[in-house]
Amino acid sequence: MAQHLLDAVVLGSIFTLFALGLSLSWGVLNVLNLAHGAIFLMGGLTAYVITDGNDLPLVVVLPAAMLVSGLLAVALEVVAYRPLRERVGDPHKAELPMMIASVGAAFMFTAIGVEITGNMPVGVNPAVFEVSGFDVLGLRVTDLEILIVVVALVFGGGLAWFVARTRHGRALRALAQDPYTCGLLGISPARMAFITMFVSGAFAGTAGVLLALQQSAIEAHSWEPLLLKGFAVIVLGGVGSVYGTIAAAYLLAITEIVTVSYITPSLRDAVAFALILVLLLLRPQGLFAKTAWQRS
Amino acid sequence: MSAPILELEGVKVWFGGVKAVDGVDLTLEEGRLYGIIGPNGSGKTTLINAVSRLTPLTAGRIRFAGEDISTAPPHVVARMGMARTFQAIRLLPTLDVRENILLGTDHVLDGGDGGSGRERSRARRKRAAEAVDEAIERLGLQAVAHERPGSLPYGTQRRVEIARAVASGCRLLLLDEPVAGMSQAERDEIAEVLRSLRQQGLTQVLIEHDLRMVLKTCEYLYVLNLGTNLAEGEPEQTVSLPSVQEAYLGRSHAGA
Amino acid sequence: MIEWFDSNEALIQSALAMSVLALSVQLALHAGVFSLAGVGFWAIGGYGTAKLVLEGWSTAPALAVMVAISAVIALAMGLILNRLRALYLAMATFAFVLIVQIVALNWESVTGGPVGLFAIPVTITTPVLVVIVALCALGIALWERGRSGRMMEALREDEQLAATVGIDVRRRRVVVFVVSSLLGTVSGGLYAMMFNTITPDQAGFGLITNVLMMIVLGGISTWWGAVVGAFIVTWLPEILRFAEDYRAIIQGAIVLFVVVYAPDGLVGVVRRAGALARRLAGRRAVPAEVAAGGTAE
Repeated sequence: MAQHLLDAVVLGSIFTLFALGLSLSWGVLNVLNLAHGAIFLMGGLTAYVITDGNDLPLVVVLPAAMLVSGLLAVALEVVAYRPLRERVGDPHKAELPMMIASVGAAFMFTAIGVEITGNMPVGVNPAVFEVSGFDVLGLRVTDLEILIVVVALVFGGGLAWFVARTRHGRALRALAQDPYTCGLLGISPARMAFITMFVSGAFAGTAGVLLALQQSAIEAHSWEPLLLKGFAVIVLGGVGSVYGTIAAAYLLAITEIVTVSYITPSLRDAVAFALILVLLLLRPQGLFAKTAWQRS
Repeated sequence: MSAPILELEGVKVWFGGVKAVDGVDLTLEEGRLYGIIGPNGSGKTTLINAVSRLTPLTAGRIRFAGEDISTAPPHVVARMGMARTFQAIRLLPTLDVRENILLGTDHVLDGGDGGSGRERSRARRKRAAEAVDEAIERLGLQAVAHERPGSLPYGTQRRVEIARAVASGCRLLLLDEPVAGMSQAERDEIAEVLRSLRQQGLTQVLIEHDLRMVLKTCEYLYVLNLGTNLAEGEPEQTVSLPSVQEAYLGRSHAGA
Repeated sequence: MIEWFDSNEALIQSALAMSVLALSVQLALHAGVFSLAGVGFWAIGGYGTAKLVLEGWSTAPALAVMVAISAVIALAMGLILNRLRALYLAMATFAFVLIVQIVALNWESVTGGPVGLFAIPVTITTPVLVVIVALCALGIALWERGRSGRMMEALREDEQLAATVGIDVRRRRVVVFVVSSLLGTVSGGLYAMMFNTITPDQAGFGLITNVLMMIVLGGISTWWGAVVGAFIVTWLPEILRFAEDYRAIIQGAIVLFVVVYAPDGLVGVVRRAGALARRLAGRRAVPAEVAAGGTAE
């Protein structure tokens, strides 16, 4: 049972990274970025591609993946989201076209993923990270798992700090409220949007690499259930609340592991989906209502 | 002397800690042109939203043509004959002027009581078309009837909104700052429209900041301050009351 | 000509069935109800009809029963989800679609699990299919014009305004939700009756993606745009055959491009070309109501 808890913590860490990225694009830029999952995929695939035949350590591979994913997200902002916002004018009316654009992008990226993987699960070169396991208090833990948890908490904490304490963080919060206010802080909303999307993508890419290493396999469609779970997490935690998202991510992971271990494995994904439905009906603002993006 | 068409008793609208409307009483008689004025933040727009039922009441009662509408949903009240305009122009951009006006009739006019479903439907369409044509005529919109509102001058757009209300055959028209942002010429245009509608017996309530406009068009004023009644009466007199002046000056001094 | 129809019959049938699903989502979006539930009902209609047909039921009764069952479910859902708006509703219906898919994947005794249902007898002919699809399209076309069309514009553009002109917004949204969902059921049912198998992987994220593409490529604002889009997307793998493995990449890129730069899809392009041609021919621009496809009464 404690082993299960451990699994949940690792899973929750992946959820955390993924969901924080999603929270940024939705909470700050109002875009339901359905391509987030595909960007996650591209992160993992970057790791796969650059280490195919080369032994590169994680310390090189992870930043590379983060860079690629971040840039892909920025590309979407430049090519699709920003032009759409400008054309449509009203930010609410732009939400649907932006979502559809993200679907097209997801389709594209997935297709590229299928090309790269030959539509089969592929494994990242294990030389990236030599996994060694050891026993702690009777539980089996690997150093990779510890790394995943650490990365999630560090990145999450870092994001929270960034948003609360830095000028760019304040600009980000301002942008969430209204682009004009952001401009008043001396940072152009456009630039802030790029930074936001870059970070959003980079977080997804990080999750992608780490999960690829943990599961020793990536498959072009593996991101699909994760995408909706990401939304479940941010709806649960409250869009825009970093700490809420982190808490919700671990909560969902625990629920999922419990379902798999004690109820039935086949309902694994259904848990998240049912959760979304229930939450949206009962408390759309999430369990932790205070939204960090909008706190003054 | 007609029965009051709108009565407000002790109406309060609170949003959490914010007491936007905190005890307002009004009695409006049919056929007259009323004005509601007050400094910024006095609760005028919230009051109109409450009357048109877009906002729930925290306390108090509203009676429209004798019926208690305090908890009625907005569409019911619209069908009873209440129409309104908003501070921003709210026309549908994808429809042309005529269709926008038709929208005012779509859900409030019926085809009478006799005949089959199809006959009633045809009768309804006929009534609607006539009401729309008449409204277009009255508001001088013949030239732009087939244009999309987005390309029209502000004053004209406002006239389309008013035409929409007129075509609906409403008994009460609420106008929330209809001339905000308009040139003096456009304001005069709208003032003229309101006066002519008054002559045709339509009850109107005008919320406005432009005191000139209010003095030119309204027959009776209610002054609100801090969400409640401050004064009421004949426009010129009411506006020169010391309490009213103080409310306005005090506000503008504080820069609110 | 007949030969072309014969050799492409499967594609035509598929496109026709998909048109109804595209109409389902187009209708909902047109009226401002961001519901993708039709895709979930596609699975419900598809599997349900398949099971009935496997038991020996014929076309009309099977469809009728599935529509009735779906109506009940959709009504309940519509009422419950009614308070959700825009992206939140989209997400909830998205979740619904995926839940249906999971049920299809796991309820082996009923749905056949991952393998799905097979050996479904073909119980519908192309002419009947065309009639049913035409009826659906006609229904939507009529609904989206005139008075009800204006109501949908109001629901989508400005709900508050809609309420103040007498539109019972809550009720109308539920009605749209239910009809949209039922169109999904019909589409799935038709599909099941045309092809021998139905599997869970046909009814998830991929289908949502395809339907959205159909609407985007054809044009969001009109019903015929949805139908055109359905045909385009169904035919796209054929058209893009030269690109082989890169087909899907190109398809995604096309959608991205169209959404951003040609928002009204093919219909928009045609309209603009038409307006341009008229201008070039020296005639005055056509009045707004005609160009809008006749929403006036």
